[in-house]
Amino acid sequence: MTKKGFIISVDAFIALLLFFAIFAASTYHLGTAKFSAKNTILLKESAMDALTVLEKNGSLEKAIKENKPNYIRGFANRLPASLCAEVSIFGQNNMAEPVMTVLKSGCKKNFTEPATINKSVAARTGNAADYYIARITAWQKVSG
Amino acid sequence: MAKGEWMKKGLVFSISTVLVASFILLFAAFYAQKVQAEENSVYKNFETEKAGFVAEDITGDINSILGTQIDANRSQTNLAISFFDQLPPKTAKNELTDYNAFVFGTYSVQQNAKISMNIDRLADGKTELLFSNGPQYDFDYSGTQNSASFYRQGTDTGTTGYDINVFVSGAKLASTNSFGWSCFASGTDVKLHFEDSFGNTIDSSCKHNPNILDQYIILFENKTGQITVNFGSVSSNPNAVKIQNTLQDTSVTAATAIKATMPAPAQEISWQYDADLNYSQGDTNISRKIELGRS
Repeated sequence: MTKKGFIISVDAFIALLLFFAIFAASTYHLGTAKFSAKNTILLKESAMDALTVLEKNGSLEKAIKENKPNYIRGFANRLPASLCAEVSIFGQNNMAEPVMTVLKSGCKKNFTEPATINKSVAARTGNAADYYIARITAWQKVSG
Repeated sequence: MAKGEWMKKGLVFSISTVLVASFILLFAAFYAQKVQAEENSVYKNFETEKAGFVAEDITGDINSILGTQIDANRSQTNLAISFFDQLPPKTAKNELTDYNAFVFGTYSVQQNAKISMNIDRLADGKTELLFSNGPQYDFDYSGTQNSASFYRQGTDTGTTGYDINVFVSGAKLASTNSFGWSCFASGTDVKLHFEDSFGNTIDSSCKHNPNILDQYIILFENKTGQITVNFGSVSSNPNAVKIQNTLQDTSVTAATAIKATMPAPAQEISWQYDADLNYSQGDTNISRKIELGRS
C-alpha cells in the first residue's frame, strides 16, 4: 500500500512538472509575439503626412521666415484628438538647439514609444535660400 | 475492470495529454514566429515608404529652388503642358549647390541614410527638364543669359498650338519701337499675350511656319535690353519656343507662361530634371532621376 501511494505521488509530480514546463514554454513563445509594428508605422505615417501638409501649405516656410510658431500651432492643434505631436525646427548648422518648438496643446510629453520623422525645408528670402530640418515627434495621447 | 485495462487506459490518457500539450507548445512557437515575421515585413515595407518620402522631400525642395512650375494634362486626344517661370529667377539657381551640401551633410545624418545627388547638369548654368515623350524645357541662367525654351533636340516638338503669356513688372512698353512677327496661312497656332505693370498690352494670334525662326521683339522705355519671344526654328530645332530677357535692369522681372498643346501620346508621360538622386538605407536603395510628375 505504501509503495502504491509513493508511485502515485511521483506520477502526479511528473505530470505537474510536465504541465508547468509546457505552460511556461508556451507562455514564453506567446510573450515574444509583439504587435507594435502596425501601431508604430501608423504613427510614423501620420507624422509623415502631418509634416508633408505643413510643408505643402507653406506653414513651415512662413513660420521660419516670420518667426511665428502660430502657423504650425494652428495645424498641430487640429490633429486627431488621440494623437499628440511636437514639431521642432532646426537650423542646418545646429541640430542641438531648435530655433522653434511647438507642442500640440493639451499634450504632455509622457510618451513611451514615439515616432520621429525629419523633413528638409527650404526657406527663401529674396533670391537666396536657407535650409532647415523640421522634426515631428508623434505619440498616442495618454489620458490622465 | 481488470487492473491491466486501467493501466492501459491511463497510458493512452497520458500519451494523449502529452500530444495535446506538445501541439499547444508547437502552435505557440509557430504563432510567435509568424507574428515576428509579419512585424519584420511591416517594418521592411516602411523602409521603402520612407525612401519614397525622402525622395519626394528632396524633389520638392529642388523644384522650389528652381522655381519652375509645370502642369501637364493628358486627355484622350490632347496633351497640354504648361510652364510657369520668372526671368530672372526668383531664387538664384546656384543655391542648388548649397542645397546639395545640406542634403549630403545634415539631412543624410538626420535620415540615418546615405543620400547623394549629382546636380552637375542643373548647376552648370542651365536646368534641363526632360519629358519622356521627347521634348524638353531649358532654363538658361548662365552669365548674362536669361531664357526659357521649349523644344525637341533636332526635331519637331509636335506642338499644334502655343499659348504664350508674358507679364513684365517694373518696365514700360515702348510700343513704337517693338516689332512683331509674320503670320502664315497654315502652320502652328501661336497666341501671344504681353502685358506690363503699366497696363500696356500686346496680343497676337495667328498661324506660324514652324520651320522658320520668327521673333517678337519687345522694347521698353528707358531700359537697355529687350524681351524676345522666339518661335519656329530655334537653334535649328523646329516648332520650338524661346523667351529671352536681356534687360540689364535686374529689378525688372518677366513672369512667363508657356502652354504647348500636342496630340496625346498613347503611353503615360513623365518629366524629370536631368539630375540623379541616390538613397541607401539598410537594404533599401533608390537610384533615379529627380522626377517631378506623371500624366
